Amino acid sequence: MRLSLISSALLLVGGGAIAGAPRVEPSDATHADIGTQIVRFVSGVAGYARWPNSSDTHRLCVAGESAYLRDAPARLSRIGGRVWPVREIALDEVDATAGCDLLYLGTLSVAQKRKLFAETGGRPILTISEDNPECADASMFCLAIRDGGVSLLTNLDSISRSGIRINPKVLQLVRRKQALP
Amino acid sequence: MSPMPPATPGKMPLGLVLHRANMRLALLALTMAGTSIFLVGLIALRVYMIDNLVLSAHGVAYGVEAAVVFNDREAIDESIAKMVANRPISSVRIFDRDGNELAHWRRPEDDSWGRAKVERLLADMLFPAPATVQIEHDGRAVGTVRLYGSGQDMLIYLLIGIGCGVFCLLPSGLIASRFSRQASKEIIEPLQHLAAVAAKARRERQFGHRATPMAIAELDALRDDFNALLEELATWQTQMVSHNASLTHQANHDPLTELANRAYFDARLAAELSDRGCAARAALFFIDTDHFKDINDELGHEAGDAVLRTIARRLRSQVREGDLVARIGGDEFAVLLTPLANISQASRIAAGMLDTMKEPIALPTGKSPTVSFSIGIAFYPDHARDSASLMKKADEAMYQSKRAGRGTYLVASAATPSEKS
Repeated sequence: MRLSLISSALLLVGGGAIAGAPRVEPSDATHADIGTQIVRFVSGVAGYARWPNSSDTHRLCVAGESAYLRDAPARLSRIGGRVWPVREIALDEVDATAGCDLLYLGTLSVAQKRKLFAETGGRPILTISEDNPECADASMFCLAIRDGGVSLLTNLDSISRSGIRINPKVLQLVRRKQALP
Repeated sequence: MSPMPPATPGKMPLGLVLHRANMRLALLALTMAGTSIFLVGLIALRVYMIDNLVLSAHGVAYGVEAAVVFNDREAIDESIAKMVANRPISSVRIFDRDGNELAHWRRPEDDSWGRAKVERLLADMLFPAPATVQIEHDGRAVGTVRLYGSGQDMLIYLLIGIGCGVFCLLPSGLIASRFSRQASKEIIEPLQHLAAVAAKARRERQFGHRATPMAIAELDALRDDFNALLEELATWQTQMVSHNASLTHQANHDPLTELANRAYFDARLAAELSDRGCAARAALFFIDTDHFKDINDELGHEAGDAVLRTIARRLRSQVREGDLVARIGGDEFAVLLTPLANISQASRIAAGMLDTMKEPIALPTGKSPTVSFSIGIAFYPDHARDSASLMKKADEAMYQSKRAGRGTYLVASAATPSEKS
């Protein structure tokens, strides 16, 4: 019941997002460019996020398969972002997200996602799901990869429930795009 | 009094000199004040504009931060356009961390009347370098904002400044001119007044006019001295007139008897005869005191003088207002009766004269001698037409009268050899 309510709200927001979300040179974007852009988004969102424990270094956990985030540290250093420790988590572990500040959700089944969201719910873990143009689940940020470009979407409901403070600049930037027809 | 008296050719009127000096001073003061205010304004404006440019750069850096972090060029362009739309900025450039240009925004140029060129020139003068600010995110530099200022505000300031300068110069000049004329007038009018009084004194010899009090202290002091000078001149003039009058009197009168003297009598006789022409008759008496020498010898000169004074008084008492009695010698008198209605009138007067001398003359010494006259009478124009001949006729008649036995009068004979010749 509750889930469906959220979903409908996200549909509204996400629906607009597809049309004109931030993207990087869609025409000549290569696989590597998309990877760089995704890393940029992840690093940027992390830079605008304030965790309640306010530790300086943030641990990035990657769940599921992601072709783009494999060489994330190298890409991060290339774009001048902060280099974080990246850890791939085992999906069958109980409480796999313990010790994660950011959780990047790659290609996952619905059941796997549900398990992970059940774990992160109520914890200050910033969730970003890859290739989720609807952004209709409990992810705080979603990426939509279209026409060789990447768009960033937000789920304000999840953000407000996470306890992580997101700088309104990001929200403004994303909302501006989402508001466009 | 005319406001500006005609100046001597080649000489400048005082009003013009004062006015020119005042106007030059006013113009200089206005220009100096205007220029200094303008320059101070220019400097202050430049400082503010540079500050403003840096502030704008910070604003742009803040505004585009997220867009730069997410490498969203569209969002960058939009943010820039929104932030610099109404600011004096000609162009904005955004670079990423590696120096790649992410955005380049340029204000569309309005090139009417070469305005863009002037603005660019002013911008180059005002802002030698663009305002450069780093875009920071999460404690790291993610890019750079470079803002190029526009000369638009400066151009407006310059135009307004020059406009105001010209606009203020006109009324200020007019007011200064008015004040100057008023001040000149305050100085010139008293001087003109002084000049008018001086001219009147010189031309008309009227020393009665005095310059009125003046507002300016120095001029008032000058007026005081001037008035005192006029006073002295007036005194001198009066003294001179009376002195002249007394000299004239002395020259024309006998001091003993106060009768006219010979010179005056001759002049008056000549004047009367020449004025008269043949219109009216005049009579000339030549009177000699009988035996006057004896009085002098026997009673002394003082008695003689007293006798002469009495004779003079008595002679005068017998003639009319316009007639002239003169002492022309020691004991000789002459009388001119004019105008004369008829000959009998002269005879009556002569008889009256002889008659009045019958009364003894009381002297201070107690003696009272009786004196008699011999009178010779000649008529104009009957006996002669010129004064010399007339005198001669009367003189001859007097001698005849003396020979005839003193104490009588005798009218000159009608024809004489001298008149005939």
